Amino acid sequence: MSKRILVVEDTENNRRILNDLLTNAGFEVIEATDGEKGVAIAAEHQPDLILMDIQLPVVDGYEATRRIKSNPALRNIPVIAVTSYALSGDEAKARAAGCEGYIAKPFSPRVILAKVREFLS
Amino acid sequence: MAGHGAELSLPRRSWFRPRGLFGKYVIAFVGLIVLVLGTNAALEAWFTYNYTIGVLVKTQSDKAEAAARRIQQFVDEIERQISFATRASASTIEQHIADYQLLLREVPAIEQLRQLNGKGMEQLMVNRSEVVKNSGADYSRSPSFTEARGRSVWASPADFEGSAPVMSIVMPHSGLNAGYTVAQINLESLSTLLDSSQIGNDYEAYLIGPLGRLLAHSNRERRLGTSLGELPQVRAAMKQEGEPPTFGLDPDGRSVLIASAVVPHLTWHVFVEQPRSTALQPVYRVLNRTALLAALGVLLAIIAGTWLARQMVIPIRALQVGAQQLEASEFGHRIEVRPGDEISDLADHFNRMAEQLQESYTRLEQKVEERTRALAKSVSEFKALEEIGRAVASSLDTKAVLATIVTRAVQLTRADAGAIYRYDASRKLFELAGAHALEQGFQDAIRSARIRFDENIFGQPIALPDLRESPNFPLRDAILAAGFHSILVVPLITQDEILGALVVQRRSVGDFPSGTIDLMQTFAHQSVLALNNARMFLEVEQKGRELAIANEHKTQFFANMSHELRTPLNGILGFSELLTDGLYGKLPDKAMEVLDRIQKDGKHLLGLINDVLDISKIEAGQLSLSLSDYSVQSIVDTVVASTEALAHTKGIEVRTAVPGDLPIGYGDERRLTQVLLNIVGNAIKFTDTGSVEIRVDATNGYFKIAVEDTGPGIPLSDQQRVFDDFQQVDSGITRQKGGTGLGLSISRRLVQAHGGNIELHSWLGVGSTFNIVVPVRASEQRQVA
Repeated sequence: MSKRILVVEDTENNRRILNDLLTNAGFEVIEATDGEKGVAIAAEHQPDLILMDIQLPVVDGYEATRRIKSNPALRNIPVIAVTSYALSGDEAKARAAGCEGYIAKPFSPRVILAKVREFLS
Repeated sequence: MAGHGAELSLPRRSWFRPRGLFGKYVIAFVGLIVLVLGTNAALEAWFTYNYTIGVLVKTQSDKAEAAARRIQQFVDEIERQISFATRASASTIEQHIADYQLLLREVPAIEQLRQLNGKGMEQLMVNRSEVVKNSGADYSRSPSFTEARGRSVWASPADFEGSAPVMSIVMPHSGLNAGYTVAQINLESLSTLLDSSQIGNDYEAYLIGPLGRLLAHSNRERRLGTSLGELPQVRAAMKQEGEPPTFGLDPDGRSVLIASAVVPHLTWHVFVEQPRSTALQPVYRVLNRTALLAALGVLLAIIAGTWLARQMVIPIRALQVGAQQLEASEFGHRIEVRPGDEISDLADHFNRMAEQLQESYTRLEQKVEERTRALAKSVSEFKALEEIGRAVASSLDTKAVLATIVTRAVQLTRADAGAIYRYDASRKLFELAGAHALEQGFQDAIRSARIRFDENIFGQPIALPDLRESPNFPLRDAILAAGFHSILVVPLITQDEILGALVVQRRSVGDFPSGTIDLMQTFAHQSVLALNNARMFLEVEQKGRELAIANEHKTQFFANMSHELRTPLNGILGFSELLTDGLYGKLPDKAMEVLDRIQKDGKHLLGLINDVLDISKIEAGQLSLSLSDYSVQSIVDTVVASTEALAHTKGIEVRTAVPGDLPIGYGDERRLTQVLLNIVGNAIKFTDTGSVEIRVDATNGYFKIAVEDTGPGIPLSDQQRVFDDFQQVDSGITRQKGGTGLGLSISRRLVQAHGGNIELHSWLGVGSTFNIVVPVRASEQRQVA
């Protein structure tokens, strides 16, 4: 049974890239376009991993991660932050919010795939 | 008071100055008198001595002559008696005996009488005890006979029988039994002719016969017959050479004064002498008296000399002390000298000089005091102006500056209160901007009043010596009510506008001196500067704030733009990678090559965007480090991994030398990685053949990461410039090699933000070495913009 990955991403191109990449690699991909939906879909579908954009409409990635991590049912799902805030302190902020991994945008699909496999192996 | 002390102590010391005037006077005076008295005494002693000696010698000579005459008479008398006896024409021997016996009775000195016949045979000898007739003794060979033949009388040299001096007198006679009468004379009685009754008590006299033997002596105890021929006077007399000595020796060896005389026919010498000490007694008396008088004279001279010298020196000392007092600036000292002589005249001149000096000094002091006051005044004015100038230049608190100006203006113009007004051009009203010594009530009255600008009277300083005579002056009644009666108003004006007014007011009525008005105008000028400064500062501050906001906007814009640019870039790079990886099916080689170009350009664009964002953050001071523990080894590994592909493509070998025992660093790992990546990336980019070596070591708390390449090198003139923004050695290379020209600039600033630095050593044609030096334990430094 293939692993399920939730991609929370508001940019359609990025959703498409991640979807194509991960589906092609044999994962099941579900998508959310904002933070609030991301939390809801995570609760609904119990993914094995979440790729979380940070700059999101409605609720940003930090807040969405905090909500997921405060939900005992979702707490154990690893969250990898994917952010274009490639600045000092971003990674620390992401980890403080509860993210287990961190990838800077613009990302390389190969790096994403390697990271995902690292978490799900 | 110090001068007074000197006055007491100085004279005491100076009396005994070895070369002092006093000593010189005394020595000269006393010396002169001693010289005169001494010469006088010596001359007197000399003359007295000579005179006394002369008199004594004369007296003694007279005595000697007299004694000699007496002795001669004595002998002559005996000769006469003998002659008388022998001339008597005695015809018989009995008659002769009678004559001889008579002669013996008459002349006690005759001891014996002998009659010799013509052949020297004794015919008769008579003495006081016996008479011998015709003894026939032969005297023909005796000197009494041989010497006396042919003479009328012959006296034999004196001779001695034991100690008794004797002589013979031989006298020829005619008649019956013609022959010679030889009388033996005892000369002892001669001493009676020399005794003290004849020559005086103080003298001794003696008679020297042949061979220097003593014939008679005034002192009966002397043994007659002793030879005195060795006494110098006797020897001289006997030799009859030159003047007989005045002094000689007596038989006891004492020095004596000598006079001598010759007994003519007998060649006896009479000496009269007295002891030298006795003889010179009068000389000594005279000498003593003279010495006494001289001593008295010297004593008197010393007393008189001392007195005169003091009379002379005391006024001079007084002059000297006076001069010393003048020297010590004690002009009040006056010299007191007994009047009447030249020195007192001199003292008077001196005193007058001191008076004039005192007056001049007082006048000078007054002048100095005046000048000092004036100087102090201008100094305090300068200080006030300087203080205000400094306040104007340094303080932007206009209110405080204006308050300072008012306070100083009031103080320096000796006014009682003051105020400064600003002119509000829009409302055409003066507003109180600062006050000094004005009561709050009065200030309120000023604030509530509306002081309008009167063009007619404004522009020049307005001085009102008596406010009561200026009924139209604004606030006149309020000012008068507050107790001020004179007022000085100086406008604060620039070339084209009025800024306000500076006012000082006094309780008293009176003119304001022109100096005060000038000073106030200076203050007004300073006030204008202060107001202008304040206005300009406000403008600058406003501009600064606007600039800061604009800068903030710029940074924000860059940040936003960076994000907005990255989002589509993510799609471009992501899709091209998926395409390359064949996710959407196999593409023809030509398409793959284009895709590769798209990816390269996309990554370049991303680098540009990142650099621009970094530099804008650095410039805005927004770059902050994320400090945590890191491993240099892992940074080097990351950098080597990231550049491996490029190095491989270019055929450049990348070597590393990282010791295994490096300490764990503390810093911003991601930024340090960025720095090393930039430098190693550059090294590989600019090196066409050879290698790039990364060497790390840690010393003294610093990591040194050296990146050495075998590239073309950087000219010395460009070595500093490469760290500047947007600089590459050759802009042609930029196009060829890519890059924004911001990398080294950003790298250096990142390292400096860690408290480190990047150094460059490069030789053209050999290669370049970049040394990254960062503290092992970094702390974030103030932003180096």
